Amino acid sequence: MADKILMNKNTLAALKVELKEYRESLPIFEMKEQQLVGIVRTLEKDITRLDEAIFDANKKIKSWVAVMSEQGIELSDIVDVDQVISEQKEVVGVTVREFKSIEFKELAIDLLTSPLWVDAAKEAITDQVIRRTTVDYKKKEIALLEEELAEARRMKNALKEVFIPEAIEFIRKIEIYLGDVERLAIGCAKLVKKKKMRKKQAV
Amino acid sequence: MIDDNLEYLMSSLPDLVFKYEGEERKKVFALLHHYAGEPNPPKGLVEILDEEAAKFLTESEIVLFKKISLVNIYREEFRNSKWNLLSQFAKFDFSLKEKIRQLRIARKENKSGSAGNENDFIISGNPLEEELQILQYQWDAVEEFAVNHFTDIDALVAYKIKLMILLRWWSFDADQGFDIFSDKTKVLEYGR
Repeated sequence: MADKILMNKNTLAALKVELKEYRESLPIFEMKEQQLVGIVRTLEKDITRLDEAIFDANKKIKSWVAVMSEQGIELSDIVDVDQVISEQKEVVGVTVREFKSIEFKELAIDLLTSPLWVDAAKEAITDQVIRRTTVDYKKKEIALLEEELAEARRMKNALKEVFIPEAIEFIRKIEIYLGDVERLAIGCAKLVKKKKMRKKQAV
Repeated sequence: MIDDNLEYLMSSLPDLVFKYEGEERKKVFALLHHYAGEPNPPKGLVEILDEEAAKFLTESEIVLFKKISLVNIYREEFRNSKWNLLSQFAKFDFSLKEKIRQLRIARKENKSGSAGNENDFIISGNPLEEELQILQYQWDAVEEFAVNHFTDIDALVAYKIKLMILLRWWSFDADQGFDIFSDKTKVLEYGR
């Protein structure tokens, strides 16, 4: 690149404009990186909290889950998912799907003929399904945000480590070169002037 | 005549005790499988009992006897049965189910549901503990109704009910139940 760069005022001016743009972009990418890191951390904390709740629920249910093996009871007749409600949103320029809720089918449970445990089972299943689905959505959100974070970091590092230093170096070289050229021109002009004066004096 | 035949049957059936221990179960399964003539028959214990009992009952009695199950015993046809014990237990079970229904409604409405309310026949524990209490109530009731019945049709009906109570209890399996729970709560398709 340095070999190909044209050592003239036009190039110098263009490089200065580029450097200004790089310097203006850098804080934007730094801020984007910070925001994304913050959001990802929050999501990770949410997932940790939900994973603990899932684990606790599993632990708690083990004391009575034996009833769910009762023959002749189909859990799908007790609780069944109709649809998952999610919403698209923009997070630091990334389009993600945010989990909102789950709609369960309205299933009539005969309170006379169905076993008593069915009520607690329905609640436990419903709660656990919501937790697990929330975790899944948050994990997918993190994956998308981490892709964007990696990109933001790449850009930030490229600006910091490559583009800005390169531009500064090229500008420095061109300024030195142009300075040398100017000094040479001034020197030559002074020499010519001196010679002319000597000629005049000789005459 | 029937009583004489039933005496033979009742005396050869394994004793039923309200226990969950493996030894108790093995004993009952082994003896009833012996009736079926093979160590691991494809049919269930209730079916084996029905078939054995059928040898000593009339056609209409067989039909009624085979219909008896814990799921439907509360129904009117059993409440109105000419078999005393069956009728008594069916009425008891219907009353029990009705009390449970009221308890469930109350819980849904958050009015009550803990010990000490009008439904204090059930103490609020975890769902398994509650089911075991219900089974205990049913067992105690059938034992009470079966007093002084040893070799008659009421004794046979009592035996079947007790067998079904035990089989229901013994069917509760923690590992299987947890597998079912895990499967039911697995992650749903993204975006569904």
